[in-house]
Amino acid sequence: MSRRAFSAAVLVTLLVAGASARAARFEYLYVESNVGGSSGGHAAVRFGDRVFHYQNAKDGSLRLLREPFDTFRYAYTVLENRSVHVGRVLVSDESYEQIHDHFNRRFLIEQQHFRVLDARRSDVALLERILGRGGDGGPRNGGLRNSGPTARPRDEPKLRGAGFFEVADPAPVAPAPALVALRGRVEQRYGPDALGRRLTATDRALAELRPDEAPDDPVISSRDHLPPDEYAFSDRFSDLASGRAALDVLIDARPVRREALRSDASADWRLSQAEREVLLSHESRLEDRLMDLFGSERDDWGFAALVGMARLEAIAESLATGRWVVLDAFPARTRAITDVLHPGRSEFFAELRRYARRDFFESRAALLAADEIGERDYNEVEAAANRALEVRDGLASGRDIRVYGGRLVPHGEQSPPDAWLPRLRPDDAESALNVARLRESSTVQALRAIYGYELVTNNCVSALFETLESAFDPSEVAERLGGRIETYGTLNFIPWISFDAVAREYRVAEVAEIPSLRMTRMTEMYARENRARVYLRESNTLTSSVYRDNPRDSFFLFFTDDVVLPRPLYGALNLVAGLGQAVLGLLRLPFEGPGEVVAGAKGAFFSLPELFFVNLRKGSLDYGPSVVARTRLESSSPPD
Amino acid sequence: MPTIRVLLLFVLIAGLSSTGCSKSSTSQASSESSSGSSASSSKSSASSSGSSSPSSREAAYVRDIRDFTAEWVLSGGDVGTFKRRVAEIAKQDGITDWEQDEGTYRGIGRGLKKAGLSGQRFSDVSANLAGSDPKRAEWIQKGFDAEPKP
Repeated sequence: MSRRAFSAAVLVTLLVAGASARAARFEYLYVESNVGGSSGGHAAVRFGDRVFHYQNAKDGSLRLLREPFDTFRYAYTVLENRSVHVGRVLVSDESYEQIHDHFNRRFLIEQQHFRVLDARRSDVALLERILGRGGDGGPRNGGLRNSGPTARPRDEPKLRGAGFFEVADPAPVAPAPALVALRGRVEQRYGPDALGRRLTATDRALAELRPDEAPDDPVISSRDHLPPDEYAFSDRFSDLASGRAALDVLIDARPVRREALRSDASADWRLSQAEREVLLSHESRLEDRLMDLFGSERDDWGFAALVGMARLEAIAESLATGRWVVLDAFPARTRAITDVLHPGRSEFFAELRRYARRDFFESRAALLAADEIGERDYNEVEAAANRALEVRDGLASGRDIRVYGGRLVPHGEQSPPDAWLPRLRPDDAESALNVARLRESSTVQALRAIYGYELVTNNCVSALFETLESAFDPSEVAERLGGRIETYGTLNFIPWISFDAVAREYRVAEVAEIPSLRMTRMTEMYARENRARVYLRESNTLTSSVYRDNPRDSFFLFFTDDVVLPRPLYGALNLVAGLGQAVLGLLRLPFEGPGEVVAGAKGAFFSLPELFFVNLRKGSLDYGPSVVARTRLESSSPPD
Repeated sequence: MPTIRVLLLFVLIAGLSSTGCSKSSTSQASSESSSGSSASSSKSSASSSGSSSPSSREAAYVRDIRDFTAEWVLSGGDVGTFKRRVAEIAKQDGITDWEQDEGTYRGIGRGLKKAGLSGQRFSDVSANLAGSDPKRAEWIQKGFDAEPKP
């Protein structure tokens, strides 16, 4: 579409929109290509501060992701150094809500589908443990591969929250005053022998727990329908065992392990008088809630009670010491930033530390401003405190900094003791294990049929359009969106082509661009320095002040994303450099391993498009400041 | 030029194991659905500054519960499964004691209306989910009243 035609289309769109009482916009985002798994680019849709997009996972499935826009923008424009093109699509308020709901609904259903697979894998792992086996390996977290190089051990059920407490056996521990008081109140409400009776009943239920027997039970059939009702063997076990652990903790009034509590001697962590009052009031409410939980019939009461009791002790410790004391909320298995003292990362870490500290103070201010503190408010402080301390300690000592991408709810995982395992005869357990494996296998097949990645029919673009347009009755799509986009039998499944299709077919009111980190920094440098000097310095990976050597990148010398005419020349030089690196790598193969050969060969390969004026490679960063992406606003302009 | 780009892209497609869709570990790690993380996503995960404010976080949670509840009503599932799944959604949002959270029940109320329930049917389902707690019933009603007609 020409610039003039586009302007006319925008004008008509705005006039039509003006006739409508109210209108909303969602954004279609096209992320420029980079080397690796994104040679055609990537695509997403944005509703307010939320972005939905499909990504092909390592296990061969295409998963719908949902994340804050800020995070998405940071990941793509800063870390991956890719510009994002934005098409703002004008729709009615009703259509906007309908599309947003539809994406959200699909996301929630997909979560439930993969949760079924997780549970069935845990069933297998639990039965293997009952039989005294170590497990045969298999992916975790919803992966669709049963074996192979990416396979990892299955997750046997873990008791979340139980790991925070001291183990009473064999040596007794001094009781925690906060739990002694809670135990007294619970006994007062439910009777002096209530905890003992519940413990006996739980032990009996654990011993009598039996696995699922139906091998051909109904499984997942469509991405639009929730999975059938199911309470998996491993889930039943986890819930009962968590309840058992909670009863143990309260009966013995076990203290939280010292290493599970985190605090700091600096002034930042001192409790103000207002915070002390707020914590006192929260402590009292938490006790009331815990009393309810010990009488609750809900299946997952044990986990909530364990975390609640551990928090109760952390709050008591805060009040006693006059400093914030929180639970160590990180899971046992989480990734970490290594080599934290590397000088090239100092800017990033300075910013990280600043943000983490700011978040800690902001969450505390929000706590004071709340009318009544809920669990969410307390969790905000707890998570922010954990992150602030993790960054601070890591930078002070040079140890790895743990990171966690999801909401940081205290984990405190612990394996259940053998004595709590269901008592099954070996023959029965063996037979149940075979059934559980069949159930796992049938679930993998069902999920693969629905979520398996396909180059054309189920990639990040085709799945996006399918979800977008299936929010409406087929007869209404054109009216609601301005048109339809066909991905089957066309090239619209390719991200950069899809963006043109959106501008052409949908009611696009505005087009904007969020420049990549390098582009943004180059613009700033051009404005304040000699252009020729900036260009010469920033045109290559050896002298660039923005780019730092990243082991994830293939070998190349010249950036070609900001030039057109010299692109083939730079491409030729990159090709030669890549080949040279590969040859050098071959010579050094016995000493250095295959890394240099692979990086050189890939570098040469991705130089080929540059010979034909096509740029894919942008370079990427392992770490990067987010300031640029945050402050640089989108600029609007019609496309060429 | 576009033809050359397409041809080249197909050459690259043939030469690569995957294409078209970014396999950004950075993005994947920070997804709300993910329990993993990545060193590359350390900014967003080591600091929560990229995430939403508590109020918008609660609004998003209520929306999730609403959408899930509506789906559950339409699929005709049982109450036990519903509660376990609500617990899962709550856990992802940092809530362990979801029964004490007003947002949970407001979301349920909104979801019941979104699913088209009204009159006696709404009262029956609401009573079933709220149990004997009048506060929860009140929250469900509040959510129901706030949701526009489907």
